[in-house]
Amino acid sequence: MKIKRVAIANRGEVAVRIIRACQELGLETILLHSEPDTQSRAYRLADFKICIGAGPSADSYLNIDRNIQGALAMQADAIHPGFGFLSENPNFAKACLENKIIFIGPSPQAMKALGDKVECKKIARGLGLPLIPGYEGSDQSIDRLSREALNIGFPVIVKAAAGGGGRGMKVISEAPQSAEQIESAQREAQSAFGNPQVFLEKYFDRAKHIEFQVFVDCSGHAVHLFERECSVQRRHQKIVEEALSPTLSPQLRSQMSQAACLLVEKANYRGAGTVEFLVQDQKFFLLEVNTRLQVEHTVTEEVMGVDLVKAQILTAGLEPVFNSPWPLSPQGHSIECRIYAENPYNQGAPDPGLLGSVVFPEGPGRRFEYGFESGDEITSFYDPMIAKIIVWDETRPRALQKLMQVLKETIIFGVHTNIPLLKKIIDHPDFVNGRMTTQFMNENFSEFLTKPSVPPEVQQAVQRMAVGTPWAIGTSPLISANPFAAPWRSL
Amino acid sequence: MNYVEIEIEGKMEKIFYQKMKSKLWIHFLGQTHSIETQKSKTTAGGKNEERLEILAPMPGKITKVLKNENDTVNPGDTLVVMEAMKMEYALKSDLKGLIQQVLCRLGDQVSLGQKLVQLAKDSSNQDAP
Repeated sequence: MKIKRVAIANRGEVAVRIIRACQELGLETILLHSEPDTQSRAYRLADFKICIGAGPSADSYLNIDRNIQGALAMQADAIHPGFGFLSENPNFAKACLENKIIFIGPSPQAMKALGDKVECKKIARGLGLPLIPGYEGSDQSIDRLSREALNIGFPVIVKAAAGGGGRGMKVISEAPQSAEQIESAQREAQSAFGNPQVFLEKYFDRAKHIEFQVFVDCSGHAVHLFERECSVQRRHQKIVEEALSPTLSPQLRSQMSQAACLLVEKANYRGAGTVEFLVQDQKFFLLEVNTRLQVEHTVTEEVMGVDLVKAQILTAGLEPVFNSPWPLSPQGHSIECRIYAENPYNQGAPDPGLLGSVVFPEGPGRRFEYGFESGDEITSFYDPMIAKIIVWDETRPRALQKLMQVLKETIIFGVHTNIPLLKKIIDHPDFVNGRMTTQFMNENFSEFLTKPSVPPEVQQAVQRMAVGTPWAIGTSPLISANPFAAPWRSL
Repeated sequence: MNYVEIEIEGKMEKIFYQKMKSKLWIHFLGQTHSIETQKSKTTAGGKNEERLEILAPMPGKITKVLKNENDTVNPGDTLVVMEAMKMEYALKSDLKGLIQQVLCRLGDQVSLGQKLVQLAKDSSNQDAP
């Protein structure tokens, strides 16, 4: 293969995921990291590392020039952008090419064509794919946008033209909110993507979010790897994802997968991509295309038995992928949930801080993707996601049972996490039955969780041990202490 | 990982724990809890409390300052908008009153618990809670 040394322009769990894929392919890795990220698992795992700037993303992970300079200094012949940050920035892909570095992803042209939501809609319209009613004009005045919102009919959603990952998105439910919500979306878009341009869309109030994983190999052959359902979203960020969708009909599956392949082929796309749809009342509408690896790619890997990150790298190196009889067929069911450092008892506010003990209960069909270990700090510079927990089992009910058990046994000390919320989500009848829509979180979890109390005897027992006590171990009839290792692997 | 065993409803249960600064973290029966071992006043007030001091609920950047000193405010008025971990948070007043002091500026990087706005209660208002 042409690629020998890969630079990773990312951080956290995805950086670890890419480093592992490279190592398995026999490639050297270079981590392009920010100043605070020396305390991370990716830093410890990479063969080489180079600091490209300060903590704020704009000075490091979002800075094209610093990433390129770092990669050149370390003689990388390819860059993997991961997701978020510069992964969907055509200028970055272009800068890589100009510096004779292979960008592991689509060409800048294909990325621009599908990644820019306005551009993508034009192509999809040309192919006759079903689109969501909206306004995507260049007149960005609050006045014009407010009028267009009224025309579309409420509820209306405002989105960042250059966006993704829920940033710069706001829902307007009635006319008087228009100006404030549009302004807020423009501010977030400017801050997150450096571009304040927004567009408007009709907002669906009982739709499912279903997306198709597509892959185009180096010869230009497009295939789909079935769908993921990601209807459980809060503030437009996905929390729980699964493959396959528990309710998608075979007819819709066939139509949607065809539409997805058609779109990426038209744009002359390469590598992994995701075509997102909304499905309501047995109709589907194109939402957007993500021209990169997705956070939730893991559930597709689990049910399809493929390695998407390796496939991306091989495709960039002009090697064939998916060495199995075609078409691949899905096996069993997989669910992922994202663990965020946030306080579920305080409006889900981010809760950065130093990680104490971390225990992931390993076992068959349990996969843990994480970027930080005990002693590392979750800083407020970046997204508060600290880990992903992925389970696989033969059926959806079994996978759900397994996930509940894993969530109960997972221990993360030092920062609050959303695990208490996740347990309630996967236990909710609408989720268990697979009927959840993108409104699921708003409808069922708009109230914040109340903090459970700790029984006084538990508190006393632990306080005696942890805070110091005149009592010797074992003198209390109720308590026995084991100073040796816990039965679970400690990190 | 440290643990103690304690009998709960006739069964010996493991309680995992770790003390970090003033917080005691414990995990038992599938749940994680944190207990403050010292009384601290860094967190913002509870739901029904009328806060006179608006503190930063998390570290982040001030993206909008919507009120000036001596402005009057009503419950629910947004005072300051901050961005943390790429999400926007609006900090609102929960009382009717007056802005006594604005202690942050647009673009400031603020730390957890930092005082952002000092409010004064509207003394002309008769119905005190």
